[in-house]
Amino acid sequence: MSEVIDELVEREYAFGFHSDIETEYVPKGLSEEVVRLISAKKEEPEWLLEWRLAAFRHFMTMTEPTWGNVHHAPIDYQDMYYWAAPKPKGPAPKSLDEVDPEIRATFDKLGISLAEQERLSGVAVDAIIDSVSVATTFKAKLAEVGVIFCSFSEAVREHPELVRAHLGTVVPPRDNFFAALNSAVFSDGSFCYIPAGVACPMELSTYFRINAKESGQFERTLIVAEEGSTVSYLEGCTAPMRDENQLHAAVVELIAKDDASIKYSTVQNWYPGDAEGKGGIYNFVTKRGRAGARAKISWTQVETGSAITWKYPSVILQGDDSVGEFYSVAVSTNLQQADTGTKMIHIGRNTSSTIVSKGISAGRAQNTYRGQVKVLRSAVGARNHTRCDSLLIGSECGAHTFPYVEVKNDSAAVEHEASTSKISEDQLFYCRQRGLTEEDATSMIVNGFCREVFDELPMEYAVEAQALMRLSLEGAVG
Amino acid sequence: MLSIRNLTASVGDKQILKGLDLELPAGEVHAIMGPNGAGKSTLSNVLAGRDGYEVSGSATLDGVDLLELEPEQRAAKGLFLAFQYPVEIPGVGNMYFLRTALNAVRRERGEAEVSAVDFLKLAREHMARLEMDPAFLSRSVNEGFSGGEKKRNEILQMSLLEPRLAVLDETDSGLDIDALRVVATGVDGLRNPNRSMLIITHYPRLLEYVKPDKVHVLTDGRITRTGDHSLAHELEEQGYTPATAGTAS
Amino acid sequence: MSAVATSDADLVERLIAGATGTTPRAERGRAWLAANGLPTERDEAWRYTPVRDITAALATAVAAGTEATGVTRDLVDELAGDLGGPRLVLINGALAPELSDLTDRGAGLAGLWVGGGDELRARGSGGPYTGTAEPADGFQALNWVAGVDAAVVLIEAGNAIDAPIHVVHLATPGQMVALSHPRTVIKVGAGGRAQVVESFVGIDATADGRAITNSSTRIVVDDDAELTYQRVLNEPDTTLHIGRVGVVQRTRSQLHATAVATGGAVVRTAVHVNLTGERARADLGGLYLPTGHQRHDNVITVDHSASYCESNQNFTGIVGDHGRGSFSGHVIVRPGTVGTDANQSNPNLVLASTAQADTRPWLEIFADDVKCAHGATVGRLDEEAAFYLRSRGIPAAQARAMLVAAFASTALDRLSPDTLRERVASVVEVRTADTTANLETPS
Repeated sequence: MSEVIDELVEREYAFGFHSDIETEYVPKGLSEEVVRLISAKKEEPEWLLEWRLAAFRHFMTMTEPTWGNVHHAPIDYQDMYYWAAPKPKGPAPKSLDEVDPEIRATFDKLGISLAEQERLSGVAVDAIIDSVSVATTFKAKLAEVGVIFCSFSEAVREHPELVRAHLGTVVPPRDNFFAALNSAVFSDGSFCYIPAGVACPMELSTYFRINAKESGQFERTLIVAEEGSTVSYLEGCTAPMRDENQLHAAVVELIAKDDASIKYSTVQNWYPGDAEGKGGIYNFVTKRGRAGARAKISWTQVETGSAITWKYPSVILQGDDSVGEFYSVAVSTNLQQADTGTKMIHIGRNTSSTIVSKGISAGRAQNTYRGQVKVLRSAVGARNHTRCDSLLIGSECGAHTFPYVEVKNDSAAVEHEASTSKISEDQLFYCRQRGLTEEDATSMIVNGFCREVFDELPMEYAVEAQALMRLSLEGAVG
Repeated sequence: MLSIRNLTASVGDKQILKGLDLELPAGEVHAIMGPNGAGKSTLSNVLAGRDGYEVSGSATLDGVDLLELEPEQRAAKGLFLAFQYPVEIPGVGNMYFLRTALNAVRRERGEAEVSAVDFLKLAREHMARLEMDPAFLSRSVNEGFSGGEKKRNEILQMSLLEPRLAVLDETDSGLDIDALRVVATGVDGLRNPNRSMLIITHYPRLLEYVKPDKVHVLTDGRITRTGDHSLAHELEEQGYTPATAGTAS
Repeated sequence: MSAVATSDADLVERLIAGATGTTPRAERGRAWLAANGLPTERDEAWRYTPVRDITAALATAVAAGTEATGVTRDLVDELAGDLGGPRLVLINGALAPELSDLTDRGAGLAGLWVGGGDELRARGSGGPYTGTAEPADGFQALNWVAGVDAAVVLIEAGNAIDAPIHVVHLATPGQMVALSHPRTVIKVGAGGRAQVVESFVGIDATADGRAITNSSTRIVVDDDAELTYQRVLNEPDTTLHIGRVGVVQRTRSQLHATAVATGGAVVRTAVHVNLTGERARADLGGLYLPTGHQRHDNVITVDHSASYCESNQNFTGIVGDHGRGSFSGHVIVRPGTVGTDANQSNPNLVLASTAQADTRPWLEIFADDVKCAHGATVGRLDEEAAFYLRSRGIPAAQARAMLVAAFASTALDRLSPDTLRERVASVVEVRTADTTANLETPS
């Protein structure tokens, strides 16, 4: 085993190319002026500008949180661009055919062929480069059943009442440092609205791409599932290989009204930095959903990228009998740091939550699960089960498990179990005896270790996730 | 075929195999019997290449010294070990595992890989012979299998991988009488002139179904006695002690 | 570390000014306290300790007197029991020789030295009182500055002491909010073996008086030595107790430690075990039982800084009424170590809808050759089991009491000698009787 680990080679990041797209920036740095400029560029209504400014003013009073188990040089919030966008080469494209060919080529290279998606796969895609949405597919078809799926900017223009009624209701602008920053400067993102009783007829997907240099990406996603509706949503993300760190501070808000169901899947593959820890995305993300009565919110995440990941997709189980789920695979290799987990806040009666977290550390990476299960006095009959396993590959990495379980109710049943170990020598030997190479055996065992989580992903992404996992570990194992 | 010369193995300060010699010609089935702690499982582990042993001597399969090879290379040369305690591998589908193993071995032999569809057909044929429910293919490797199911799964793998040399480590342990019959018949059905088998066992009951060409007694790290099939019965009646005493003194 | 909060700055200044310690260690404590102050609830390790309640009480506290006026042997027997072996009794942190059984019971035992702080100085012992360690937190720093004496138990290398050695800390607040800083030092020399019981008890406070106990126990278990350490906290329900047990274990040493908290308004038990020698084993367990409005907080850390060590944490929480019980277990496995085996388990039983249980079983692992697992549960009594017992004719209240006792038994069974176990078991029974009787009939 050790020889194989010694052969540690720099893991190839397959999405590290940079596209030559002409980019427009607002001046570097963060100020009220910049916030106004962003809002003006997007031709936003007054109320949204005021909302941003309130967030900005509050942000300026806050300090960066230090409780995460991650370490990085101080971030200079004045030394980055808060707005970067592919420069339009004419009026906004009316159809995919009009989208800048260079942008389309970028997504083709990423395996997200916008045209092909539209023709073949039956998945609606909102493609976002840097700060703006460049294309959304399948809009017309979705509109037939009343589903709205568009860029956030378009939603502000076309459906201001829906945005205004829900924006910031799950993650308030003052929620935390990065959420406040996002609220002040968010650029674009996706908006989904599923009308009451509608089962969204296809997977919705947003693909995020950071392309510009020295820029942060601050997108905002808002999904509103009206009573009795269902939707499955997937986000993917990549970025070019660059030596400097780039900040990604997104906010995702999910609102599942009574009897609604939202399934939110993430395959996060931002550039993780090189083998020496140079460069990579700082991924500081706030994701939270609120579930009404009998509603269900399910988060599934496969986190393989980013130099630093700091995210806790959470569920506020407000309605009686609501259900929250969190399925996570976090892989960190080389010098990556991941501090990720969830919060399940039980408020309603007979609410139940499930947490399954699989952490894999290799190289010199540090991988932390941090999760909170809180059962309030009102949550009579609440249930939680948490299973949290960590796998270590190599002697220089770390795996940390920091659960917080707080129960104020005698009718609750909460179970937490966890384990940490290295990959089993017995399993490796068994596979190798049957003829598998050590690398194949490791990959197979690790994929098996993550099976429960992969099984939660929509089919086509489960395959992608496994391939990604293998790619990630190639750097670490052989 | 398999030729073991002066094989020693130790763990830390403790020597377990103390100069073991064994010749196993092609097509023959030999049994190795011996009391607990004699080194039977160590022999199978050392042949298959498990870490943790200090090894000297030689063990050649078709002239190639196994001891120089990685476990997967030994498998590619045609060595198959049926484990005494097959490990569970959660989340890894049995069918996926078997097909990957089969294709790894086939690649090594220069044979074409088997497609998922062909494999399924193949696996079902083999499973039918072992009276296995095809549902096993969709379960995780050995996970939640009963003792008998695990052993059957081992023999299924042996049957699919078509090894040149099969080492069966206590394959009969933990089996009830019906499972023993199925497993043993399965093993016996895999005998052929190009395949040798080394059956390591504590009890002679498996040997009722798979009649060995020779029986070796392993005591204290060496082969201390060799005989034909009747030796197994003698051991059953008299235990290992007299046999050991007879040769050692 | 937290900066000194402005509102607490005066308090810290006053506490330092009132403390008289002049040893190098006291000086280090003084400097540390002046620089860092007392912890707050924002410090992760103090998240579940009602620090504000403690600092509020400290604001009006005075140093407890050390006279044993009115305390009799019978009273000590009644509060803490007589285990038959050597017994040290300390009043508000100072050794009371007239209440202790040292020479008559202890002198006969070769290789055992027991006494007050003078004993330690006389023995010139290396070990826990020397060295340049920094205090772990503001309260320990305060203990270093303000403690007046210590209970000292030294077992010389190669000696096995069979009789349980009993250290009794008695708090007598009188009419005041009386602050004391009991200290205990236990060292088991190489190859030695001993059993030490540390009891914390108090005299029921008067209307105006209550005790604040800020205790520190330091333990060294040397190479191949074995220590059974039992900590029994059964103080009056007005007492605030901040306690810290710091353990250093050397090569192949073994520690079996049990902490049981039943009394006190607030009881914080911090146990920090550093496994510094290879193949050391630490087996830690305990029971906490906050009822009424009690708060019991347990902060248990095992630091695997050497290879092939094994540790177990098995703490049981039973919370009733408006009580709140917390467990923060922490296993740290240091880089470069191999062959670590660590387990944590924390089952919690919640007996009332107003009670609260918190659990944080943490693993922090910087090496790959480890086998670590933890499990924690929070739930109510198994109603099916209760029904089963009732169907056999056992009245509901009794059935539930039996099940509560069964839940507590994992921890109680760790206690020895029998007299101690029975003593603690009866306290547990009385404490849970009221709260189980109040259980609603299941719907």
